[in-house]
Amino acid sequence: MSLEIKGLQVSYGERSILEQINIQLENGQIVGLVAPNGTGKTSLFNAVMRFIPIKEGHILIDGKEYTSSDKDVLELHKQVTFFPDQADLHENFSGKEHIQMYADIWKKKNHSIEEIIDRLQMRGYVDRKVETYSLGMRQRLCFAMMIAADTPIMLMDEVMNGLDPENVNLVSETLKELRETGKIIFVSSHLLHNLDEYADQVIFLKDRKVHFVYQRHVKAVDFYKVLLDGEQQKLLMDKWNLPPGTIWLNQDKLCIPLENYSPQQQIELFQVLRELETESLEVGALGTAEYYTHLYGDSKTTIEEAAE
Amino acid sequence: MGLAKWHWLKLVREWKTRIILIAFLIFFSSFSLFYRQQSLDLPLDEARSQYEVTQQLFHIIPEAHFEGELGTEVYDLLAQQQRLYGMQRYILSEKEGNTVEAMVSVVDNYLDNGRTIAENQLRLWEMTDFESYLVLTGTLPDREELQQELAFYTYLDDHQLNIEWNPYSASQVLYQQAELIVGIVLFVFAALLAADRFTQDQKNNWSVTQGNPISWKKQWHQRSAQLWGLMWIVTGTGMLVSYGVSVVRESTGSLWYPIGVFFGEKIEYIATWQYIGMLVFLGMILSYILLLFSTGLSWMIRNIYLTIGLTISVYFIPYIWQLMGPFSSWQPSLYLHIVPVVKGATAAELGISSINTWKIVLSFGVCLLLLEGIFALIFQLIPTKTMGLKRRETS
Repeated sequence: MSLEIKGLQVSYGERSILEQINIQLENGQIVGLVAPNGTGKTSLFNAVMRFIPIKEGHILIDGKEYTSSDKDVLELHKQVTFFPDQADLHENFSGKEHIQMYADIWKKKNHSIEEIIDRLQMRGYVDRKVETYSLGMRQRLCFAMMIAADTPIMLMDEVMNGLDPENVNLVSETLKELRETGKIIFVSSHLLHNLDEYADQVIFLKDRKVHFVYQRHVKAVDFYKVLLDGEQQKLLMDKWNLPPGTIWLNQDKLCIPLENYSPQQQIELFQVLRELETESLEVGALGTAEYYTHLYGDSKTTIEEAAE
Repeated sequence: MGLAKWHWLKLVREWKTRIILIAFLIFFSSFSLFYRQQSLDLPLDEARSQYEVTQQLFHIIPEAHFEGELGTEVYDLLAQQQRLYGMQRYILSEKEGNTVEAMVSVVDNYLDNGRTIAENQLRLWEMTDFESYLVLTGTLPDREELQQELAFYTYLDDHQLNIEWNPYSASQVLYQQAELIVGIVLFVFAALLAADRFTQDQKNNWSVTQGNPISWKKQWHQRSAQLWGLMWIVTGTGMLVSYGVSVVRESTGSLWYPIGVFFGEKIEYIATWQYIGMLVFLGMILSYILLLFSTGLSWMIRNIYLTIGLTISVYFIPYIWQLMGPFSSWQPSLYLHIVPVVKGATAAELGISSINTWKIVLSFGVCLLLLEGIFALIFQLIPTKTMGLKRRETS
């Protein structure tokens, strides 16, 4: 199974939302989709589902193009499901009925319904009407409906919304299990550290385009990631000549690349940083959260910029 | 079953639907009680008037014209007519409920008298050589009407039926109810039931109901058919209850009693049960068309009030043709009012005898095909969450 989005362009009237989106995904992948609110994440999902008109571009599954014809759209919907909004659930249906409904619509076998309920720890409330559910319960139900539909491609928009940390872990683990069955799962989420737990790659949208793809399994440059206040940064720059590629995130988090340093230099820099009595010091590649701040937040990449 | 089962559950759990169904069930079930409160006119005035008209003829027509063989025959016929009208008038004036006080033995004569009056009138139409022919025939019903009357009496004879004296008898009320149901009531019922069938989903359950691998057209048929089933379960139950109430409170009447139906050339009489069956059958087809229309609009415009308004406004289309005249008897909209077409009133009003009962089914078939075609095009659009319908663009 593969999903390919080629040259996708979406606009609302004259306002362009997405341009030249090219994404290729193979089976057994979880792909994070990250961008600030209003930058086109949901529009991208809606466009893939053909819920909104596509101005240009192609959607291919296993190399076969799914056009805007009714026949193709129906076939597409057999392969791809879209994460329901918790506010859109039928209030006078029980959770179990919702799960059963999605299983029925996508003609999946009933025996898995009970397994899904147990897996997502919904047994205690699943027979109650949805109108009695909390946000977290509803969100788990929406997730369960997606599992019941059991399509090879799943578009999970804001899947972790309203979940407590325990349920975030539960859903994360279930996502990994789904990946093992060969599914392509597209997840948009604002829980950036959580994305690093399961995503194989994270796509960052910016200026209507795919700005950057963070390949999590590709060996990346290690950084010292250190929290320093203004005074400490000044002292550091007096003692150490920061290399090109150093990033200031939100003014107080400094990410210093180690790729051009020998092990001895890395130790020396480490000692300098320790002497500054930093609040926190980590070593490792940049994570989704750091990339996010770097791309969308208050980030500087030169000493001059940082000094401003 | 797939999605149909879930559409059904959504439908029957909805309070709006339940309230509408209960309201119509009460309305249909209690019809015989409401109908009792209507005042009904017996043909007493007509009998009185005809009696007096005949009396006048003796004064208006010169005595000399009554001479000779032909004149004598006319005289005798008119004398007999006057006597018969007098008897009819008496029978009707003595009628109380389902009996004629103190005149039980003459009740049966009403039917024979009626037949003889009609036969006499037809005979008078044939007397073209009578000198005051124009005066004589100027007061008579036209020949077609008299032929129909005779056909009516013949039907009663053939089926050994008597005149139905009780307008509140169960069979009479039932057919009146069927006529009411297939009129504006059908349009209102369909509009109220279906006006938000898709709108609810698109406004309140958008992301749960979009993206299903089942075409909108199929869902449209499923939802309309389910509404149709509910509608006719309620209507059928209501009619049965109303009939039962009538049977208990009044006489049963006869479901074989003749009712005239216009089949193009002339009015033919069919049994009440056949007439009711025909109306219900035609009403069922029309209601399915209306439900398709209303359900489709609910997908398209997502405004319950506008959908109700548009569906009910379909009922008024035939009035346009009364104002400006139809282009052809094949216009489907001429057949939206079933009862006037079946009774021949539409044909008479518009002066087109080819507007007849046979064409109703054909015109409904055309309506169905038109709806299928129009909505097949509409369902190719995308019902976006916030922007209404959008055309799917090239790719």
